Formats: sequence, structure tokens, C-alpha cells
Amino acid sequence: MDMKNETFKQIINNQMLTEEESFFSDIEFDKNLTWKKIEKSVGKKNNYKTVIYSLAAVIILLLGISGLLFVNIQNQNLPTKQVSQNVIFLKKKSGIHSNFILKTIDTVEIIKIKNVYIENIFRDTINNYITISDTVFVKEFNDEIIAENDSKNTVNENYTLHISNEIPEKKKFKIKFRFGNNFESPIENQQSFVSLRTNL
Amino acid sequence: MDEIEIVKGCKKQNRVTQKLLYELYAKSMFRICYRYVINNFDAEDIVADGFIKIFSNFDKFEYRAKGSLEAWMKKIVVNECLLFLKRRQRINYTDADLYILDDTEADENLYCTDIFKIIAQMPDGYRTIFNLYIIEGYSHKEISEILNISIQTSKSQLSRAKKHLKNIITVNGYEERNIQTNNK
Repeated sequence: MDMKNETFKQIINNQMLTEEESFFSDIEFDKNLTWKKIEKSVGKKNNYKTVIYSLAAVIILLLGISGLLFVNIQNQNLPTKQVSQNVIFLKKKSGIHSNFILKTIDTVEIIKIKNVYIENIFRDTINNYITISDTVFVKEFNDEIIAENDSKNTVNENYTLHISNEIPEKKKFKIKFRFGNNFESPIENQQSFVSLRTNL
Repeated sequence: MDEIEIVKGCKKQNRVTQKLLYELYAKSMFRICYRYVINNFDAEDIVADGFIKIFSNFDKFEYRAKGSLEAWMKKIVVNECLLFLKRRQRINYTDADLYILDDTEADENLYCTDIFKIIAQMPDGYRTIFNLYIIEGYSHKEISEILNISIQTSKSQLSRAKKHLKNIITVNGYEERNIQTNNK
């Protein structure tokens, strides 16, 4: 049966080869029109691909940017938390409450804990004074002095910082400052603490 | 440009190479399609769909030897034909009417002219199996897998196709002769 099938196949295929040209000479095939259809569709597919890839790239980019922003925000939050923790710590140890409230913690940034950056600063460019609008704690002091505590003997009331350096012209700026160890720390062992409170 | 270069170009989605490939094989692919659907407009549509599929799947094709490209393309185009027939629901295979041609019924040494016309006159089911088995060279097992039918159904449809072929030849008075006699 297989042999017969093979012979049959052979006969038919040979016959087809012989007749193919004459048979298809009567049948119309619009090659150009078919190619145009193909070209159009392939072009569209490529366009879709480009659009999809572009969209994917934009999404990845947006995710990347939002990720960076998120990390940045987290980084900003981290020292703020440290400040808050310090405040709580001080409250417990000293028993002082009213003078140790940190109001605008989001504008305070601590670097290495020892140095404090504050953005919410009112400045007086004529007298070269700045006033800090919130209570800030600095646990230890660094030798580097950029801004000094000008009211050396006042503990509870307003503090004004005298800037020894030039005040930056930018509206929003950061000032690195150090307060002098001019009063007794409320913490045991006479640890160097500074509290700063303004009337603003 | 040889076949390997065409393959390389098509893998890069180069439009000029794609056109070249189309120019080379469009006619033969059209003829395959026509054998299945017996309508030149439908065949054109299938050729277009087939080439679109070929171009978009070129990254999956591995060139092995001369002829492998044509065989791969042919397979895609035949699949497109089968899909077309399935969509149109033009084929109805039934297991109920299993019919296997007896050896004595089949004249394997049949010789006829106008074979394309005879194929065109076959019902879709017979013609599809006939095309797949006799012309494309698929086995009954492969056909059963492609068309999702049983091997017996495939065999039955082929037997019927052969009988149909013989009947047409007899009715139309096509020339019948024994190849063995002819070869002498």
C-alpha cells in the first residue's frame, strides 16, 4: 500500500509540475496589490512596536524618576526623624517640655548630627543677623563655625544668630551653624546641648 | 543576493530584502494557496497574511541548508490556508463515515491530465487532505495533529479523495493508462 501511495504521489506531483504553468496562466494574481497589503501591515506593526517601545521607555523613565524622588524624600525624612528622636530624648531626660518643641521639622536637616541646616530663616542683610523660626537641638558641636549664637547668656527666649560669613543672596539657603556652649545642658553629665527658640 | 543574505536582511526587517524575498516566492506561495481555497482573491489574501507572518517571525527561523527557507515559508502559508478554511468552516470531517479504499479500488497507476482542475472540483475536506498528504507530503499522523482529527479520518478522507479523482477521470473521459505499460 505504501509503495502504491508513493507511486501515486509521484504521478500526481509530476503531473502537477507539467501542468502548473498552463493552469495558472489563466488565474490572475495581483502581485503588486498583495505586496502593498503586506507593506502596509508590516509598516503598521513596526509603528506599533515603536509606539510600544517608546511607551515602555517613558514608563521606565517615569518609574526611575519617581523612584529617585522617593529615595530623595526618604533621605530627607531620615535626618528629620533623627531630630524628632533627639527631641523626645531630651524631653525625657530634662523634663523640659515647652522650650523643646520642634515645630517645623521638615525644614530641618541634620548632617552628621553635629551640624544643623535650617531653611526657614529670616535674615536681616543690613545687620547681618538671621532669626531662626523654630526650636532646634544640637547634641554636640563641631569646631567648624559658620554662624554663631549671638545671645550667649539667654537660655529660654529668642535667639538670634550673627552670621560671621556673608549671607547668601538666594532666597532659600542653608546655613551651617554652631551654637556656643554657654549654658548648662539640661542633660545629665553636663552634656553640651543648645536650645534655640525664636519669637517668630 | 543569495538566500543567506536574504535571510540576514529579513532578520533585520530590511524592507528591500523583504521585497526581494516576496518577489522570489510570491508566485509559488500563491499557487499553494490557490490549491487549497480555489479562489484567487482568497489566495491573495492568504499570501499577504502568510508573508506578514513570515516577516514578523523571521527571528525564529534558522537557516540550515538550501531549501530550508522555502520549506519553512511553505509551512507557514499552508497553515494560513488551513486557518482560512477553518474560519470559513468550509471543512466538515466526520469520523462516522470512515471509509478506507480497498487496494483493488485504487488505481495507483492512474494517469490523467488537468490534475489542477480535478483537485479544484474536489470537496474542501478531500482536497485539503489530498493536498496535505499527496502534494505537501505530510503523514496521516501529522495531518491528524494539524487538523485535530483522527488518523482514521485522515485516511478515510484521502481514500475518498482518490475515489473522487478516479470518478471524475472516468466521467470526464480523462485518459487512463497503466504507467507500467507506458514505461515499456
